Amino acid sequence: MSEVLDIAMKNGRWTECPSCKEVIITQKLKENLWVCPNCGFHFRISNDRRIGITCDSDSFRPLSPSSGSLVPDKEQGKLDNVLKGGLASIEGLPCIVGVMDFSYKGGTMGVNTAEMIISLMKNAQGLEKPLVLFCSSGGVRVQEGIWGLMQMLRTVHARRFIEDIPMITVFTDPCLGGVTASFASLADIMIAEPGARIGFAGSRVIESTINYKIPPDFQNAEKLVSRGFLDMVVHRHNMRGTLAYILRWF
Amino acid sequence: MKDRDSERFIDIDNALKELEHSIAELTDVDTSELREKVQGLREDLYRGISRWEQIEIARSFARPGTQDFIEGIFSDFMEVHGDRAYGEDPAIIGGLAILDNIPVVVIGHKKHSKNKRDYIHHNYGMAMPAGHRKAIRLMKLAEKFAKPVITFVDTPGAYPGPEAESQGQAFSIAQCISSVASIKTPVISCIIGEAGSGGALAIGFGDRIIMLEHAFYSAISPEGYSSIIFEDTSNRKKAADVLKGTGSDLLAAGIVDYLIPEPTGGAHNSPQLVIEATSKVIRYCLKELLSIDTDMLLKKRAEKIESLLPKV
Repeated sequence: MSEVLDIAMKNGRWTECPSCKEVIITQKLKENLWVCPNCGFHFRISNDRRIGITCDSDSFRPLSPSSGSLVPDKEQGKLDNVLKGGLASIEGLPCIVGVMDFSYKGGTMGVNTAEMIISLMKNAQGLEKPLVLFCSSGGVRVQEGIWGLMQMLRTVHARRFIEDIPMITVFTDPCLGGVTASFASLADIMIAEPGARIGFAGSRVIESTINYKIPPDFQNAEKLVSRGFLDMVVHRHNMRGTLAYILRWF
Repeated sequence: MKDRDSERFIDIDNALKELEHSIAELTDVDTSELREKVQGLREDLYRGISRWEQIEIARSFARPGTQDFIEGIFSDFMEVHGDRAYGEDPAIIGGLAILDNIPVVVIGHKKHSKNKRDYIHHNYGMAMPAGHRKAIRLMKLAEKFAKPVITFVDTPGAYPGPEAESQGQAFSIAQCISSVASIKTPVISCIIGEAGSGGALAIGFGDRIIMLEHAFYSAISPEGYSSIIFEDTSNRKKAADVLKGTGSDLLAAGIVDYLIPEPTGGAHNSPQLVIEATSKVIRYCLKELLSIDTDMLLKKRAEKIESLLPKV
């Protein structure tokens, strides 16, 4: 039996939930918007999938950064894949959507990522459309040294210049370090997916620095709401509806 | 000299200091030649030091800290406390001061102290959210009454602990960075020691940035970088070279405006000299910035922030 299971998992037809270990038929999981039907665990999803389940079908038009300051990624020889952004609509309401992908370099913010974020902000202002950012990141891209760190300042600065544009941040698991500590937490409305870990220091850093055993609910979205830092936790099934309500309100 | 162990290198420096003390105790002989010899040995020791060794100097407990700079530069300093919201964080000290008859607001990380108890009290300069909020409210005070702000950065990073997280560390840093970027009054930032990650950036930017030669400003500590990239901390020397965060690196990168040279072996060998040099540059910058009107100041600052890109 376990061999059969292994093969089915390997070819992607079945998927194991990392939280409750239930084995789920991948098609079912997909229909359930990558939320475990058994325990409600929200799977981390790629930015393409996120755009697919959030925006109206075929409404997404990718925007490429307008400025010429983008430098090709040294290792990959191509542009940054952490952030995918463009003009889209949610329940018919046009907005600029940006989605960070944790699976690419831990969603870290390098110079190019920051360029993309700033370009989305400028587009939102130019088109006078609200900005919706799905943030998931390990923080600043340390491989870029001081320049990575300085992108925190650049994105914060860019955010200040579009103060009259509604900005909504949706934190998805995990969002840590220099992204939470810069543009992401300067939004007008801040939402998180259930169970998303949001904070500054990663658990490994905390455990190694001060020898503290991290409790399971540490830094999770629900706790941050109870502490007063986030507006609400929204289930993935209700995300489109919630965003649409907010966009309509603005 | 290439592959010396950095711990031994600090030991040698200490031995040289002991030697100097012994020489100073000699009374009936001419010691000038001996002193010159020791100085020569020290110069040999520090010739062509690596970035990692510079970090060791930046972290040295003997290094002058924010308190020393404040006492040496300002004629009068009155510390104020509290973030007006939740608490008081001794890791960031701030207050009112006078410089050449100009009232200013001073904010800085208090990393260096006189004894171990004080180090713990000030949490080695690792700020809590309350510290960042204190910095924000002091900047707002400065803005309201049109006083310039002078910051001193000396921190391993913002405090990475559970209390800090539950009080919103990331959120407080974001707001602090936003304050530095938007405040309608001149800001001068001095990077005097270790300047690690978001905690340093929170008050580590300004219209003018002054940095000490061996200070180290980076997104992450070399140990942290090494453990992320090479899976353990043993490659910290290599990491330090990748991070390129010394004063001369950042001056070359165009992030830092003024570099304060340090005496052989580091600022602690002649703190007075370094503090005086810093003081001169601060005075010069202050005069320059006060002559610019606010709109121009903000425009220049915006340009400075927008140009924070690697020069290809």
